[in-house]
Amino acid sequence: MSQYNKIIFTGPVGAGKTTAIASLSDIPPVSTDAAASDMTKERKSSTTVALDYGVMNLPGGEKIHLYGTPGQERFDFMWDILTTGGIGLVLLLDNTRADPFQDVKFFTSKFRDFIEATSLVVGVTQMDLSPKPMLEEYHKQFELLGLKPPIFEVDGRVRADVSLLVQALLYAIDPVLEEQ
Amino acid sequence: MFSALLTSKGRLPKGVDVNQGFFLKRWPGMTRLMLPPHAMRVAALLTQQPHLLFEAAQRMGIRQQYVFAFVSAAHALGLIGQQEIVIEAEKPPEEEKPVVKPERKSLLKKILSRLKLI
Repeated sequence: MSQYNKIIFTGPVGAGKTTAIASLSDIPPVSTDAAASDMTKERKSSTTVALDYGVMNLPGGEKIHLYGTPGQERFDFMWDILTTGGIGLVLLLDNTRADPFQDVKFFTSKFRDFIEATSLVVGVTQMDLSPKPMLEEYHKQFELLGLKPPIFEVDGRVRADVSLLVQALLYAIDPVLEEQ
Repeated sequence: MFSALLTSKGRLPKGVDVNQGFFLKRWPGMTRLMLPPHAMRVAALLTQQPHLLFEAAQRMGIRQQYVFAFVSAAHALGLIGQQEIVIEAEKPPEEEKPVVKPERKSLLKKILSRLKLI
């Protein structure tokens, strides 16, 4: 069987990718952090410069690899490599950013082929700090792009939120899926 | 959504036509809702394409009332649409391609079971 054992987390800097992976991972996630030096430093003191990695252990010894893409555009050359063998894409969007709809357009464009071949779910973070835009508005933006993914409010620190998001990813692939 | 769920008691709202297909206009925000059983599966199925509700329940192997309950609740949120279903001639089973390869489906089931432990 060809490789089919990754779930990819993507989104802009500060959206919560590292945190979300940490919530699901059965091992302490590997994060490659460095002090932020560019515009990132205005949002965070440190940021992921290569990728995040976590693992979900399944019965029978199989592992699902959780990869978080680096948030800055200059690392986008890695995204194609990361998506090979991927089950689907989790896009996290930060609702406190100045133009989250631009993030929607950017990331759906960059990952369009992967989304078309697999599945997409969207988690909107920081809605407690910034309630708008509302989820309804995100749905409209995605509809303009010809997409109708699950879009949930999530807190990356809350395991149940991240779990529901990934469950939706699986059901979007196969609605009649049942637990083993 | 939860209020609609409780008051529906598994019945469909007035004004819907059970002989037409039902589809979900968009997913509800499920992380902030109390979900009825099988809500996510019903949402996924009705988002993909319109289904007759009885057919949806049969396809998922669940009781109709779970589908009705979700549809009632989603209808209260303005998320349900309806359209006529054109029934095509049935294909022989061997011509039906599985949506997901069996080996992948097995893996997805394991992941789902693992996630539901959280």
